[in-house]
Amino acid sequence: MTSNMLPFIVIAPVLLGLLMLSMPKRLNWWIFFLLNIVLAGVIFTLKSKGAMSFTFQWTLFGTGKVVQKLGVTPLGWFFLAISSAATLLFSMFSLDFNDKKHSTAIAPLWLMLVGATNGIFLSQDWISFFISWELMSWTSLFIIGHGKTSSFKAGIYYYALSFFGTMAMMAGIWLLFHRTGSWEISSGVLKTAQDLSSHRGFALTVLSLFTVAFLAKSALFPFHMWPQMAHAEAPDDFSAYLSGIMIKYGVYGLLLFIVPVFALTPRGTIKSISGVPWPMYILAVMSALTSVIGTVMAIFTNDMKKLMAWSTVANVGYIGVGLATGTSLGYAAAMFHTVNHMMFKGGIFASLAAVKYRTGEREMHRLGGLAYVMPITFFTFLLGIIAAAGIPPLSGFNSKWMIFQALFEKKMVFVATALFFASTGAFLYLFRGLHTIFLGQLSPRFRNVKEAPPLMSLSMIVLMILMLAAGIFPGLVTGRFNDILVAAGLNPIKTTLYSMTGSTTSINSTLVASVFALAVGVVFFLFVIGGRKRRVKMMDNYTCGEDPLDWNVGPDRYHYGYDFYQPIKGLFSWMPLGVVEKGYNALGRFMERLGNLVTSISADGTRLGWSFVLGVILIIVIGVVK
Amino acid sequence: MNAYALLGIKLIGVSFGSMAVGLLFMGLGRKVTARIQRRMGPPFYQSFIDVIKCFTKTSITHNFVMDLGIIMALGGLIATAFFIPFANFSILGSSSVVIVLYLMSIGYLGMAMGVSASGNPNATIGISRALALMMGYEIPFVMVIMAMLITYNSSDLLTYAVAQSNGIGSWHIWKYPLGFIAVEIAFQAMVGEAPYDHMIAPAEIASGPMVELSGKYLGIGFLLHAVQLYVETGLIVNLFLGGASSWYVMLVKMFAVYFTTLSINAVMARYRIEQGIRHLWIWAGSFGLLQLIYTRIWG
Amino acid sequence: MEMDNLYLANLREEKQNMWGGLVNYFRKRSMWMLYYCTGCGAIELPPTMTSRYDMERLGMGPMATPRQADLLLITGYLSVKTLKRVIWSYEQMQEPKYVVGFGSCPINGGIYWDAYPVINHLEAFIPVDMSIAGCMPRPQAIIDAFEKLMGEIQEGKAIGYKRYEKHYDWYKKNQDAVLGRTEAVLKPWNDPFASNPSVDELMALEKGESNV
Repeated sequence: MTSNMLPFIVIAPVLLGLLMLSMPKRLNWWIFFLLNIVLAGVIFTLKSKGAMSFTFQWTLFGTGKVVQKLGVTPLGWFFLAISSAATLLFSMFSLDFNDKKHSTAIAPLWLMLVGATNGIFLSQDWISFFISWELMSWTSLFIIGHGKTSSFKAGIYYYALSFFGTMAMMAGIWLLFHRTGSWEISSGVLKTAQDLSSHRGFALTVLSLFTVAFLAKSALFPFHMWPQMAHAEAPDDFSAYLSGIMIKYGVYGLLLFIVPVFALTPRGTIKSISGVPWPMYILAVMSALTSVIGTVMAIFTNDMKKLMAWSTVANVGYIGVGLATGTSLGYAAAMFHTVNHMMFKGGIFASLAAVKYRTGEREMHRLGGLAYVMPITFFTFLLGIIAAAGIPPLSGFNSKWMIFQALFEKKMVFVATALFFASTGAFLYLFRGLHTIFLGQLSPRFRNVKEAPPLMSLSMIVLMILMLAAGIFPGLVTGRFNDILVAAGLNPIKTTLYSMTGSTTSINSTLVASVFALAVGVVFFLFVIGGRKRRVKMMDNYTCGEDPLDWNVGPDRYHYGYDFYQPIKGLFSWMPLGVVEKGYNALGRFMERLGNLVTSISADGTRLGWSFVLGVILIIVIGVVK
Repeated sequence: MNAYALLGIKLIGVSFGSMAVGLLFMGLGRKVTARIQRRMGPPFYQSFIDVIKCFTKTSITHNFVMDLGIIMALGGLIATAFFIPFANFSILGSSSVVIVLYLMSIGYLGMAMGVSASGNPNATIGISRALALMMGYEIPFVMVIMAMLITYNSSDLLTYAVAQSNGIGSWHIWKYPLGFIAVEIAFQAMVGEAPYDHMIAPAEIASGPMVELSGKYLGIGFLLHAVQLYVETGLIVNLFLGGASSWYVMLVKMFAVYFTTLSINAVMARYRIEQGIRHLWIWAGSFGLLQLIYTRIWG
Repeated sequence: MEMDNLYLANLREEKQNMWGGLVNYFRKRSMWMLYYCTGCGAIELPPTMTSRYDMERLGMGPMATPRQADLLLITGYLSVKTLKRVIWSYEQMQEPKYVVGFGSCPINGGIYWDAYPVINHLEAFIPVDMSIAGCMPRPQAIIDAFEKLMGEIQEGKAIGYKRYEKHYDWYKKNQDAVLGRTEAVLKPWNDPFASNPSVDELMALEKGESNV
């Protein structure tokens, strides 16, 4: 009975999603929310039921019997649990977000996407994995598009890069199948690990094909530019899901296939740089590069959703570096940062959605001062950016600290320098967001803006509590990693509820949080005994004695927000930042011309067109028969 | 008495002690600058008078974020001060340099948040300059720290201090000479003295972040600078100048670091912000990078 | 002016406060000034501040904004247009705050006594705690005035800010009488959203015309 739950949590959302396409919008959002509660409940009970799997067999013409298998592994369950919990919060958020004015018709597709996500995390064979992966790709394409021309362009961009990755993965799967004769993921891992010493060229080809797929999905270099289009153009409530969960499929893929292969390979089989196999070192360098590019692009972006999308890219770079170190500390750090990123970027995108819901603005310099009218949204954003900047006592510090410890363990100091650069640059763009949206002068246009609706506020409050809890008690999350690490054949990490042990030292996050609280208490005492304070109006500022209103400068012009870091723009002019985009654009234009050619041949209904269609069919038939 | 309560009382002592040390340094610093300019200068306790006066004045606030930010700022820096070993003694038993670097940021973030909530563009421009400058000095500083970290395989400041306790010959100045130059340049920017005083440029942006601070808010601003001096000079002494075996040696060494900074400050003009960052990257950055490469390959 | 009553009340108040004398000590030893360089007096300040006369000995120093300052220096003649800025700055300063007028001009108009754009009596608009006669006062005179002001602060006599609070109507009447003669050169800002429109109305407004 219980193992029948596995296909249920994959197929039920997909079928219900198809059914919902013909139902009214408002009802759909309720079904979406309720089904997410059910799914989260089922998934959280799966853990206690122990190992289970569900097998389904059928015959594929020409390749023999296909065994499809869904099962619960420690890694899969972990991703399943955090994604279903986050989805539940986001669906609660969406329930209030999709009122009459802001409603989009994405609920059915989103529900199908949830099913596909569950499928990815449960698949034990490549066929199920690939089907779920494809389902995820095209549902998300339509969600990002959501019926707007500009959004659809972003969706196409996202889908093209993702399609490139999917094709690479399909080639990899076929190669692997021919080598092992089985669709199972675990046998593929074992075989590839053996091949790394015997058939190195083959193994590296397979690994790089899969890596391309995973990098494309996780927006690591050189696929780092799709989030800034897709995250920014997606429906506002969906952006949180896109950035919190969907960007992690690639991370899961790397943990599923690439990481175990290198963990199983005996040391010394492959030449290593700084104690890390060279393919992994390249991954580390690419991830660090992703972080740096994401950070620099975010500093000079004025669109708030684009800014946070670039920040997502930078954070995925951290996760990639953690994976590339190849130690259990590094894997734990990567998983921890995955969870943290899900919480803080979910919180940040939720608060941005709340801002957009109330004001309708996306350009940051047109906002300002919203903290005084939307305090809950402000605090969510504040805690989110503290966590994103990696400042204790919030959760981001713990995972960043672990990533740096993993790097110090391998003495990868140059990669660490790049990450420190990204981490310091993060202060710049995060503070810019905080100031330009929430602080400074409140524009009179938004004087009567209200706090976000109750369910939106509630899900933001829950996210805040989660961030604080994971920051003060890191053991709540890190304690879950040892199962996964042991299952992958690695040493467990040393961690308690309060502290974490790294390679160079151990820290007690609870202690850090409590001494910070004590210090704040001391300062609060000083603040209270000081002279009395008086509250003045926002425009009562020091302006060299001039009254700005005399000069026709109202609060919204007096707000410092546009081109925030203009003085330091010149410092980055030497960086070839747009090169990869230009390359893709050239490729895109080429493909467009090719497409036009094919269209012009086939669509004019002449003999030439028909012969082209026939020719294509003939080639396919010959290929199949042969 | 409960051990936690005792520790709490000790920590409250440390927080006031760090403020007092920083204020003393600020007062002495004003005296030193005055003597360089051939003046008498104020008495050495002038900073204490200033801060107490600030707390007796009335003050203005623009909104709750300003109060919150300013409290968070000083709180964060005092919490950092707990992690600095003083005279080879770490009160919390842990003094990871990574915690020090990141915990200091919450102070800066609090300050940034508090003053930009005042709505004055001068304050925000000052903060944006401070953050940009941070990108300039943090990278060289971190590179040098990583050079030490891979030598000792420990990120504890106390380990570094104890390793240098065998007389002046064992100081890290000699072991990491390039790193010391890099950190000295970066330190100038960290404490915001000329030529890197972009953040508080009184004639340009009306003292930047401090522009809307009055009364006790300004007093807390001064205490913030005091604790910042305590933390950062303490960091340098533990990293390079051999820690200290007794409290007065520690204070003398810390003041020596600040004295060097002040002497440079007294005779320098201000860079433009992008020149400042470029200067830090090129000079401090290359010295730090050379030190890191040397230590990574031959160290 | 009920100067005497206010002074006595202040003394009585400070006697009740056991810390009063101590607080006054800190206040007098740390006076941060905002010098309002309206006229020629500003040129006397650099020698007072720098090596020759070294004002910092007394704990005094320049500050960038009125929020931080305790002492407002009106260094010379004050035109009608500048008066508005002076009052605005004075009201932004935090209590306790003191005003010192430099030279003859703030006292009685000095050589500008019959010039149409210059005001003659500063103390009619903001309370002046100390006036330094002379055209212009030399640094010695300035330092002397500051020391006298310190004595008055210690004794609790420098209570101009309390006078301003108590007799605000009188000051306001004088200010309005003069400021009514000036008006802003540019069109002043009027709040286009004073009626608090909804977000929809805002969008419509934005699409139609942008007058913000």
